[in-house]
Formats: sequence, C-alpha cells, structure tokens
Amino acid sequence: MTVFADYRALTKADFIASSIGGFGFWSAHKIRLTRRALKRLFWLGFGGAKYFDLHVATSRDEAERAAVAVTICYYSSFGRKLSEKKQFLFADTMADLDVQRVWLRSERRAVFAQVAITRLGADPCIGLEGRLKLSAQGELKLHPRDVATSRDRAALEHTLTLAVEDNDRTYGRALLARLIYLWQGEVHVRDLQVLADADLLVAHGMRLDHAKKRDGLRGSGTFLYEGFCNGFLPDRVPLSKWLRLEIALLNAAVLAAKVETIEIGLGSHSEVRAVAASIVAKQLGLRLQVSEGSSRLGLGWLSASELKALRA
Amino acid sequence: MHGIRQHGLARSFYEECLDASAALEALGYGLDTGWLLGVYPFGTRNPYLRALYSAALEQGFACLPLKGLEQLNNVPKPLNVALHLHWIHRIYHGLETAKQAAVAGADFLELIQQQKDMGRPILWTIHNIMSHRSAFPEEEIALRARFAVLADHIHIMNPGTVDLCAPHYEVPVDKTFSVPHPSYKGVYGDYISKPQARLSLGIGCADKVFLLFGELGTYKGTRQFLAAVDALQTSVGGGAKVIVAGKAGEPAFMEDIFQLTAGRADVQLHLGHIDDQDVQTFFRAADVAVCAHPSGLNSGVAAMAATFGRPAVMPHALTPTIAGPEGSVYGFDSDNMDTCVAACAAAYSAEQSASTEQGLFEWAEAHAPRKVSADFFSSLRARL
Repeated sequence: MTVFADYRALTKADFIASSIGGFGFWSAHKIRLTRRALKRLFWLGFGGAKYFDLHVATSRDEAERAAVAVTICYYSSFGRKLSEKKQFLFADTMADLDVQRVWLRSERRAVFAQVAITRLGADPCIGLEGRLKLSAQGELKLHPRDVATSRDRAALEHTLTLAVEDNDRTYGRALLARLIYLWQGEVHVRDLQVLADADLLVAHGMRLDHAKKRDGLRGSGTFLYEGFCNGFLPDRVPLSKWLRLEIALLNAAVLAAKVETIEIGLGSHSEVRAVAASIVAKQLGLRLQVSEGSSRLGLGWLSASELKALRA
Repeated sequence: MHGIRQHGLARSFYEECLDASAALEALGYGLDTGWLLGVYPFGTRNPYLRALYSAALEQGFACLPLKGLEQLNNVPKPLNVALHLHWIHRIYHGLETAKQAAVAGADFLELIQQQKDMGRPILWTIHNIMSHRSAFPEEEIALRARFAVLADHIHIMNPGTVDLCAPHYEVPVDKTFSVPHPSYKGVYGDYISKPQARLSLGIGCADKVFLLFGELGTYKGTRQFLAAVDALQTSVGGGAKVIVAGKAGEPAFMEDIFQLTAGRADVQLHLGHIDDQDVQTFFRAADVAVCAHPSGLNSGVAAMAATFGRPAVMPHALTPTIAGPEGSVYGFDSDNMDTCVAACAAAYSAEQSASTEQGLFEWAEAHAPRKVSADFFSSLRARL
C-alpha cells in the first residue's frame, strides 16, 4: 500500500516549470501539494471533451471533501481568456485511494486550457498522484450499475440523461442521490424534487385542492387546444406545479370561449395537454376529443402510459 | 457589550468598570448596592446572554464580558464585584491531551478560588449536564464537581437539573435558584406570515414541516432523526418535509448527513449561519420544531419555537423547561426514536389548533427576555 512518505515535496524546479505552464509535462508525479498553484497548459486539439485522471490522498484517517481545487481557464488561439471553471476534488485516505477524473470541455473557440491545481486546506497533508496528460473522451468504460457508485461526474450525468430517456425513476434516484452526496449541487437537488414529484403524480394522480366541478357553463362549438396556454413547459419544474397553472389558464380560456368540446390538437407534448384538458373537461362538464394521431412520447421521468393514466 | 467594543469604542476594562459604576449610580445604585458582574465566557453571537442580562442595569447589576478571569485583577477597588460563569468547559479549548485538560482545570479552579478569597461571590449557570462535544469527559466531570462545590450560587433553568446531573456530579440543592430560559420575543425579526415563509423556502401549503434548527453536531440526534424520516412519513400519513437549518458540523459527521439525505426529496438542507432576519422564515414555515438531542438540560431551539408559536418535540427530561401551555411540548424517550416520531405526529396535530399557537405566544410573552432577566437579578440580589 502507498504511504504518504512516498509523496515528494515540491522543488524550485517544479515551480519554475509551473510558472510557464509546464508542470508535469514529462512524467507522472507523486507530490505533496501546496497552496501555491501548480499550472499546466494544454493544447486542446480536435474532437470532443478530454480528461486526465488523478489520485488525491490525505495522510489523515478520514477522507476530506473539497481538499483540492482544480481551476481550468480556457483561452482562444490569440490567448484571450474565454472562461474559467473550478472543480473540487476529494482527498481519499491512503487505504481507499480512488481515481478522480477531471474533464476539460470542448468549448467553442477554446484552443488552450490552463489547469491550476492547489491545496485548499492549511494542513500540508494532501498528496497528488497522476500524469497530467489529456485523454480523449471515448465510450463509457463503466458498467451502468457501477456508475451509481463512481465519482466520475460526467459518467453520472450522462447516465442520468439515459435514465430520464428511459423514464427509469428508480435508477435516476440512485444516480441523483450519488451526485447530490458528492457535490451538493442545487441543480441535482432540483432534479430530485422533479423526480419525487413524478413519483407522487404516479402514486396519487393530479390533485387540485380547491377545484370544484362547475355545471351549466356549456356552450357550443369546439376549443382547439393546440399549444400550452402557459407558453412552454420548461425543464426542471415539477410537473404538478406547472400543470396547476396550465389547468387554471385552460379553464379560463375554455370558459371565455363558451364551448362544449375541448379538442386536443396534434403537436408537441400532446400527452401533457391531454392531462390538462381532461381535468378541465371534467371540472366543467365538457366533452373531450383526443386526436388519434397524438404523440406517444413520455415526458421527463414519466412514460407515455403514466401520463395517460393521469387523465381525469 | 463586546459587540460595541469591536465597533471601535476601545475602552480599557478599568474604564469600562468606571463607566459601569457611573451608569449604576445614575440609576440610583451607589457603591453599596450596585454590582459589577464579570461574565465568562461571553459569546458575542449568543443572544441568550444578551437576553438574560437585558434588565441587569435596572436591577443594579452592570454586566461586563471578560476575555479572561485575570481582567478582574484590574477593577477599581471600592466596587462590588461578582463573577458569573457559564460554559466552563471552554477552558479546554485548543487543548489536545487529557493531561493538559487536567492542568487547565486545576489552574482555572485556582483562579476561581483567588476570586472567592477576595470576597467575590461566584455564580454558575448550568446549561448542560456535560458539554456537547466533550473532548475530556473525565476531566470535565471532575471540573464540574469541584466547581459546584466552589460556586456560591447556581442558576438552573430546568427544575430537574439537580437530579439529571446527579449520575455524573453533585449539584448542591441549597445553592440553586431556578429562573427559566427566556423566550426570544423581540430578539429576532418576526413579521412574515407562514405562507410567505413557505414560499421563500419552496414548500407547499399542505406540507407537514418539521424543523431541526441550529448548528449541526453529533450530540443533537440529527442523524438518528434523519434515519427515521420514512417512519415519520408513515406516522403523519405522508407529505412530511424535514428542514435542517444551521451551520455544518464536523466533516465526518456531515458525511453521514449527506449520505442520509442525498436521495431524499423530503429533506431540505440549509447549511450555514442563519441570519437573524432569516430565523423567522424557518420557524414560521415550520409546523413543529424538533430537538432530537438525546441528552441535555435546556433547549434554546424549543424556546425559539415557542416564541414563533410552534410546538416542540424534545426529550422528556427537557419538557419542564417550557412548562405551561397545553399542546406546546411533546416529550420522547431519548433512547427510542420511535417515540420521537410519535411525538412529532402528535405535535403536528396540535399545531393545527389555533389555541396551541395562542398558548405559546402567551408563554413567550410571560417569558420575554426583560421579564426573565428582572426575575433572574432579583433572585440573585436576594442571595448576595
């Protein structure tokens, strides 16, 4: 097993190389990090995103969150700074060292990227091992069931996208739990709320606390419900919250039109419109006409059949 | 007090004593009746101390926070001086070994003895049976036992303090006087409505909200409570939301918290210092405040919850601290989280009654800081 004594202290030569963006150019390193950044300039080349792998170790008995910061600055071919991203790495105990992948995005116009690695804590107990050499993005090597326990953020997020496409809430919840545990990101917390909302919708249906059935409002003619009254359906909004407003708006529109039928037109999200329209039709005692050519697509965490089951 | 000092009025401690003497005299307390009360340790961000001392001057006591006990060696001679100690375990701060702790304890008690020898009464407020994160439990028990002997007067807030401390160290009954924990009425902003608070936190009107408030630590039972959220959901018929708000604790402990909450959409974490103006948001949004800590004597969070009209769930040993309003506190067996879950469900049902809120507001009014402070100092004066 590696021991912390194997990690060497940084030398003046390391910092000279770092000052011209050349640290770690020739070979792999096993060093003790300082709070002074170690810099390395990369030419990003062609193709998609690239990455390099590192091991970060602590000499302490417990792993440490955000022990190391990796700051990545992207530059154009003329040396103009385009953007800056920061990524925090865990320091593992010597007994549980695990690889951590740092991703460099394929950013538009970015030709160079400068990576600066620095220790965040005051204690000089953090070591780094790895070669600062970029590898190109390839096929995911991890088996899907291993992704949910990995620390590769790109793999986790990619697999999460696949889980959404498959309406696989169980696996999605596991992936989100892992992402939230590791990085506490607000976006993933939000995604989990959306997923939980989908679970509740499937379990209990669409609940409207203050809705009352209204009789005697029937007119004549048909209201063609072709697009959302609400404008659009954004990402990362719990569907029940969005539907509540859509139903209220549709209700008002249908009342103003004085019709006896709501017809759901073809087009995008027709399954979601069918949910809203069915609830409004039931509230107002109107007829509902669903076009047979409607989409059979699901939405986010909900499959088409689950959406259909939400209809009143 | 210290806050003013930090904002640029850098007086010497001697000058502060002179100013205190003049302030007492202006209120009719001469050298024979006015008292300087040296307070140690003083937490500048702790509203409890400011609340407890809020009526001090009117009662003839000028409270001066001490950076160290040696400051009392530099007090103008003719003034009456008493010493009020709070969290005495702070003397261990920064120490690494039990041996160092034992030496620090002996030195501290020697300093206290010197103050006693100068004729200065020693007052101790017992906040806890033991400090929350006791690094040197044996040394701390010994320190507390010896300090209880040295102290002339002991202020307790929980009527059961003597019995609860008895398994660890003896608290002489004849030295104790009981003045309850103050409410936080007037301490924090309190002007927003429940729906507004819930909107701010993204919580629905129909959610059943349980709040765990304050700095996170292993001693607070947060882990155990979060592990029981599924049982809580069952107990309240679903729709429960748990809010955890407060400064993050030790990294290893926070790892456990993150593990427990990462996959849960029904738990919200708000980690970091909660601004005084935001305290109302959390308590107003909540239905029930949960003080899940398995041991303790008092709960500032329960007093805070009562101030905002919210019932609290706490161990049975702590329930006498909010005695009075019906449906206000719900006790549980501290070694049985199932009873905590049941208490949460009962407290939630009670919260739905307007009389519960009214009863708690009345308790908070009756225990407003200045009233409790006046009671505290009149009790103290009677004993000096």
